[in-house]
Amino acid sequence: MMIHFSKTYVAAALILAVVAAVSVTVISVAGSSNTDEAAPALASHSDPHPHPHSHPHAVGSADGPGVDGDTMVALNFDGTFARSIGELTDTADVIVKGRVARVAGVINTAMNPDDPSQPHAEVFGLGRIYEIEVDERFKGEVPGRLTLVQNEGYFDIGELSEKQLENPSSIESVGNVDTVKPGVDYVFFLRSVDSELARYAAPSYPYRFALVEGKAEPEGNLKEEWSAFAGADAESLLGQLRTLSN
Amino acid sequence: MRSIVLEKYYINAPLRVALLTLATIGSLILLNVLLANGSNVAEAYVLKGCHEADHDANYVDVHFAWGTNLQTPGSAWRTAWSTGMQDWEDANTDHVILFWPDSTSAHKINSIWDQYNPSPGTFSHNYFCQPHYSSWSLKNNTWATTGWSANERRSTAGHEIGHLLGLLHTTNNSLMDVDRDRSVVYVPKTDDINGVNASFDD
Ligand SMILES: [Zn+2]
Ligand SMILES: [Zn+2]
Repeated sequence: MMIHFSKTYVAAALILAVVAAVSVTVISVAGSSNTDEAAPALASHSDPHPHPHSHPHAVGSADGPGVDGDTMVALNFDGTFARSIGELTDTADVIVKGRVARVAGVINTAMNPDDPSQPHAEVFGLGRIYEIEVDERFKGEVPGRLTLVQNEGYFDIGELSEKQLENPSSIESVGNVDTVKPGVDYVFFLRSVDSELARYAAPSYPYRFALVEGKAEPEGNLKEEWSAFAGADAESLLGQLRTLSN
Repeated sequence: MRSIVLEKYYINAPLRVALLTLATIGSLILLNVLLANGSNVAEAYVLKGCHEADHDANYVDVHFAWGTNLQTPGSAWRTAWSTGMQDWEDANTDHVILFWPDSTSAHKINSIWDQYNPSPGTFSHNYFCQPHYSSWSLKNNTWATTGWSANERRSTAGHEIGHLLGLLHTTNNSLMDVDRDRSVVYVPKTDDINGVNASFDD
């Protein structure tokens, strides 16, 4: 009797503990999404910002050591990242295997948002053009050679020299851009931007996989997003893509 | 044998209730600690090791200039950036974060149209930045955000500002998660705020 009662008691205590813990967790999760919904209404915001406070200004905390006059820049992007080969396949107009035949110059990709036929007044978008020699097609109608335009940074036009503006190919890509390399076989997932000029660009990231030593390694900006693709087998990727073209 | 032991430690009803309550509270705390730690290890904020230079122990002052296509108050992206700033000002961060429009500032916020870049927003900064971004600029790409709602734009602006404040990407559906639903997640969440608190702890 005593043993029986105790077992029930222990079981009940455990169940209660679990139920209580789970409900508290659920309540706290629900609470955090409620905070999101309680965001201030857009209309209540007056522009420019009201700044009623006066406060001590930061002293001596300006540029860190070694960064004065440093014009080398790096980029952080927001989205759009694919999480699987299937997602990449859906977003790409064209999927090919190929390699860089030559670097064919630079275009300014930053256009005026109020009139996209005109270049931007203040920003230069470094779009480097790579001619890609195609040796296998998996998706899309593709010529034997196509051009890939890769975004390699943005610059304030005021910071570029006249020489750089006259010859934009001389503008170096920003510090952290992992550019497409000559001599490496790649699988490219591409989006058609200009069909007359056969110009293509990334539909999302990653958009290219280097085929090296039997592996298909994603390359390009923000590698930390790509754990889902790391260390894939090259032959199985190619096999998977070949079923698309059949 | 066991019954003897139990007999020996037999406890009365009120004490049983008290112990049951204690056991429940104890397990509850233990479980929550385990759950919280588990998710923090896998998903919490990630710091760049660089952040806005203009700050002291109490305030972060972000001085910036509106770019040429963001001159009109009330326009879609001007509103998105302004609201994204307001969201960070209103977030309960340890430092008071303030944004100061200043047409002479070298830190530009620009709107561009770039069909070669699928990213809706970009934060550019000096490469050797530890611990401070001496030069930086923010951009939105209207090509990549055609048809987006006000909250999706606002989420993008807040995310890019998060980079300026020192945050890298997460996978926990915070503002810094590139996979978040921008129409739902558009203000800094607790994890984003914790990240900024840690970022400026220098
Ligand atoms: Zn980002
Ligand atoms: Zn600092």
